[in-house]
Amino acid sequence: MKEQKLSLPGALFGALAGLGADIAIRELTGFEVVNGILEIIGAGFGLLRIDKRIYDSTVRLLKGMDVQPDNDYQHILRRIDELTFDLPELRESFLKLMQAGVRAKHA
Amino acid sequence: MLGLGTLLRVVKGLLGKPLENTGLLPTRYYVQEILDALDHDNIGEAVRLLKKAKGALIDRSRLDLARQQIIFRCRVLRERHAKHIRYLERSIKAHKRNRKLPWRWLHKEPVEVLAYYEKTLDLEQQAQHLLEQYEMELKDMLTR
Repeated sequence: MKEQKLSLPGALFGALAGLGADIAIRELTGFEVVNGILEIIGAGFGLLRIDKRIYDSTVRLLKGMDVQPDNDYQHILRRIDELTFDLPELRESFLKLMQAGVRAKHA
Repeated sequence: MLGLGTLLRVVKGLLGKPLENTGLLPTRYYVQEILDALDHDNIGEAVRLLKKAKGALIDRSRLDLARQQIIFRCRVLRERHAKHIRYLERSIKAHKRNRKLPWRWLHKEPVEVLAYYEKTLDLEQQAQHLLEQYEMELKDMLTR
């Protein structure tokens, strides 16, 4: 197998040529090509776990409610009802979380 | 060692805004950013991002859930501010009442405390008003 050699001057030349091309495209067309690619790569990592992220956020919101330690289940349900009267999907998510919590407690 | 995720976050922090403002990124990207803003109670930023993502059709339900989460957080924070406002109003009233008592006439008035309460009350009311405005905006998005 043929051995491949890495060239430092070649890499530097390539980097400079790339930078030059990016600046030229940005100046001529106004599009930020490299920034856009980096942004999409960065977003891609987060996109894979979006549902887990939404779940985490829902749990955090539920924990962030101002309830006292001695408040019972019914009281918390009433509070959720008051605060989510026009937010049906979120209310459903909260109720599922609450039910899962109660089931886990009984198990 | 600097992780790839951290590096991408730095790059995104420096260069992400121009592309983000075009509204062309995937809806999931905006949902992710909205939830990050919400974690830090940065409601203004969350609403701004939600407006940017309004044109997207895919993942509409996820975006709507994010919108509902912002409204919910607005309500929780508004209640908290309302509680603070009630406490401050009671404190200011008590201070003013105590000032009129005869045995307090020669007592040096705690003007600084009263001014501090009033300033805090003003800030709390502003915050509550701002949250109300955000909530209204988000509700309008539902009917659009």
